[in-house]
Amino acid sequence: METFDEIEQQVRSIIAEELQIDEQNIHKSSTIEDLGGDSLKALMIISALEARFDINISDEDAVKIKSFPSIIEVVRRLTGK
Amino acid sequence: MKKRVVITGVGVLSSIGIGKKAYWESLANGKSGIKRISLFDASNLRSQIAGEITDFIASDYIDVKEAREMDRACHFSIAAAEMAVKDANIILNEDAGVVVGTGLGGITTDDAQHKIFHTKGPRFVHPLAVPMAMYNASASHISMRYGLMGPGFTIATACTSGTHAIGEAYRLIKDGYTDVVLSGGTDATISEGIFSGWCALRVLSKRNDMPETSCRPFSKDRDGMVLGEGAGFVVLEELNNALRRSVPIYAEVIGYGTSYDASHITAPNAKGQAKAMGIALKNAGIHLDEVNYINSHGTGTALNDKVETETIKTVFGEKAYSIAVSSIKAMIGHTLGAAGAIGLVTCCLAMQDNIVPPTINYTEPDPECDLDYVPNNARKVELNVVMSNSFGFGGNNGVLILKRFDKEG
Repeated sequence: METFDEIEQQVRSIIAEELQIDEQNIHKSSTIEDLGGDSLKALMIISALEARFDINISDEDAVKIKSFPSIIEVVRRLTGK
Repeated sequence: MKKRVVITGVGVLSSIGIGKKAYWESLANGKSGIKRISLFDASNLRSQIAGEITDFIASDYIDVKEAREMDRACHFSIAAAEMAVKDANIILNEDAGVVVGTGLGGITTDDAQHKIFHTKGPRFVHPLAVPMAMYNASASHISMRYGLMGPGFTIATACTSGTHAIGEAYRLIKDGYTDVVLSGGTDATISEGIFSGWCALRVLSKRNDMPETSCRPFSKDRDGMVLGEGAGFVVLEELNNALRRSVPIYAEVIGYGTSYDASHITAPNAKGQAKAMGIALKNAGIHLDEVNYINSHGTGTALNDKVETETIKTVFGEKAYSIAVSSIKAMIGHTLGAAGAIGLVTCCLAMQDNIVPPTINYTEPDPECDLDYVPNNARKVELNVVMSNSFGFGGNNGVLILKRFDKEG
């Protein structure tokens, strides 16, 4: 059974909302593509992350956002959490 | 019997010049019209630059009272249409048609009125918000201005709107529905709401500190497109109509192709683009060898320029390497629904002088973009047949082919 900390759980719910999928399908190793998303869906996730965490995700970071772990890395670095 | 269709007048409005003379002089000299945005405060946005037109005065073309009841895109189209009519030295009769392309219609009005609705309330929304914002406002105002009662409509296929408009206008004449059509494209989308959308889509260049060298189509260091604004118009005429009037002819429209990618809402697709190009070439009935110049879509995004290059190579094979290909977007930005129309006006002016405009800001070759992009300097090329491409969001493709006019065909 995977466990998710607070940040991870929030990110999970954002991905679930943007991709309109069940949160249970999002694992720590999931990629956006695995979950049925594409580059435009990634942009929607990025916009939602910026709004939820009040952060600015640069284009350099934005292109890295392809999977659950890459999102967590960017969010932790930008929020300092 | 199909009719032959020629172009007898052109009009253009852009960030590097208003009117064909000023526009062509700037274009042939590789002048950039990209600057920091002044139409609204863009200081908080990722991209803060655009090909904004700063020297246009609507009242030079339209009665002040009427102008107040039109969107900026409508001002542009009326001005460019007026220039084309004067250039063709034609008195339009009521059988003439009007076909206009626009990507986002009256979006400036739309944005402004939404803001008023949300900040002040519904009572303060402009009573003419609807007729100002509607996509077909430009074509309707032009029809009223000249009393045009012939065939016409408005086409909204994003960045391909202008090319589709002129292509469909060409078909109206070719198929005998009317002898004259005033046709073009217009867009004025440097408006804060929708511009923020472009920023969020992350396709705009961020070279905010170097606006003039920001847009770098086909160059390896390209970092995105730059939005522009403007309008382009042409007078399309059935050949005998033009011959009767004994007016100069810029070129004959000989081919038009349109297709869908049917693959992605924003990403381009070489197969879909090649289909439009193939249809246009077949329609034109020419050999691949005859094409001397391609006015490319060339937006300056990583993907567009790579895919367009692939398309040209797919269609032309080895011959692709000997065709001059350039992008005017390096200089005026992406004028969306006006782009294809301004592109076609550019082709007319290029044929007149046998000069191909350059792709400026070309600094570094990209192995994935390996054609002859006429880097940085205009070039003298004997032009007989030219092609103009538009590949829009939504997977809408449009290609037009012009030939130097020869009475024998």
